[in-house]
Amino acid sequence: MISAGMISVKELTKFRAGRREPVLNRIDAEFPEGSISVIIGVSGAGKSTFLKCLLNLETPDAGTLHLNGERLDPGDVNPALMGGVLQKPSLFQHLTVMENLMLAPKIVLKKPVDLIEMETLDMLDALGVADKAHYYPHELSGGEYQRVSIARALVFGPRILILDEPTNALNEAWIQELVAMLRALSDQGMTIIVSTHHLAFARQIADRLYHLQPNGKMQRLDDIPPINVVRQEFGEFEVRPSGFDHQVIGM
Amino acid sequence: MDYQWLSFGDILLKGLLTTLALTVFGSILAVALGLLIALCRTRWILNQFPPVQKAAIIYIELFRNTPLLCQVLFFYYGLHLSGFIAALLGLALYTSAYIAETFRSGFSTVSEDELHAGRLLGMSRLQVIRHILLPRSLESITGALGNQLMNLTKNSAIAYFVAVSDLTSVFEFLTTQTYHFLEFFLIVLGAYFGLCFLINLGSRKLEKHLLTRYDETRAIPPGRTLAWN
Repeated sequence: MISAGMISVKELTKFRAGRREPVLNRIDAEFPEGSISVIIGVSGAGKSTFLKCLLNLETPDAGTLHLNGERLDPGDVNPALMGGVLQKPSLFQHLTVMENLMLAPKIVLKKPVDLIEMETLDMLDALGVADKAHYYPHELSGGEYQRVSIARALVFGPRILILDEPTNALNEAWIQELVAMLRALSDQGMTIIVSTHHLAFARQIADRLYHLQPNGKMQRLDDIPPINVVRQEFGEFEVRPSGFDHQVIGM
Repeated sequence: MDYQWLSFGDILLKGLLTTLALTVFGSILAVALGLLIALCRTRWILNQFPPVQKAAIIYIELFRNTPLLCQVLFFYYGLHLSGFIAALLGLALYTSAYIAETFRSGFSTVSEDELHAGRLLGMSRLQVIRHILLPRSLESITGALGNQLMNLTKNSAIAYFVAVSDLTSVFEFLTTQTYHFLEFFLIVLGAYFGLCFLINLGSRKLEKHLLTRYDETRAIPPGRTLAWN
């Protein structure tokens, strides 16, 4: 039997305008329920494009997307099944934190405002950002911004959560909080797919690790490769202090 | 002293009302059409239909690159429309091309991921436009939009050429009848000034309202400033 939050792609291919080579080249991958899968790759490799194809925000040129074994139609976005956190800035800049979280339940689900307000405050409270409820996104720190983004992606209670570069602009303390938060969600059975440059973060969190290569192929890895391989395969990378060596690639 | 010119108040009022009608209906049509054309031109909205994008570009270029007077004369003599309709159509179509470009520049200030985020939350494209794209864009284009409507008001004087009794036409008629050039000149100029001033005031108020939502006690978002500061 296929589990409730399993997502897979078959022969996924995507071309970018003006490029003859595909940015995603016949990718086969499977993301089991309750697992955390991490996709690493240099900038421009197509990680965001891949995630947008998974989220059905972009239509692949070939290949299929399957949710719990059933083929998804292009453009079929179901927030109760899949939630996504795109790269910053994806919070609605003209709305407060509270309004960001309340907008979709209000206009899509048409739930009573009082109820939404209560649920939203509970969620913000659980994520430790209830005191920022009436702040605008530009007033939040990197970590708060990311928490609110995740909270908004969870308002419909999806089974799958997809995050594009969630460690961008986060310091080490926030990254550890993010690790804990994603672990907790995964323990509840949520399938999580993350793209990142941050190798230490990837190593810490990944149940499954994929490397999206510059030629558009995706390879499953057993572990983060050692530094000499990273240098050879990933090209430029950035070394950070405090023991987090070779953690950021392709910057 | 000769105060006979004051008795032409009703003619002046009729001219003012005609200009007002051209301004109000022209503005409504121009904004609605401009918004529609801008949406058609935006890749995110209609990325599946390149011909619609191309048609929007042709529309914009056609109406921006030809004189307003020629357009109005075409509608009047070429299509045999009434003077008022020809002037109204000319003003609306001509201004809508500029307004479309104004909206497009506003749309470009909204990140694509913000729009995708709306879709991810189950919102339809129309809901994304209504609740995210438009309010976000309006913050940056209210001033420019006000300018376009002020231009439309002043351009409404073009109706004079197609036998419409607007303010300019009435001014010309009364000065030739009474030779009170200065008096009528000041009245007509004052009326145009008043109309434009009201539009300017409205757009400033709207802009201020949109930006002061961010609360006076907090910083205005980066890149957004009140135009008159």
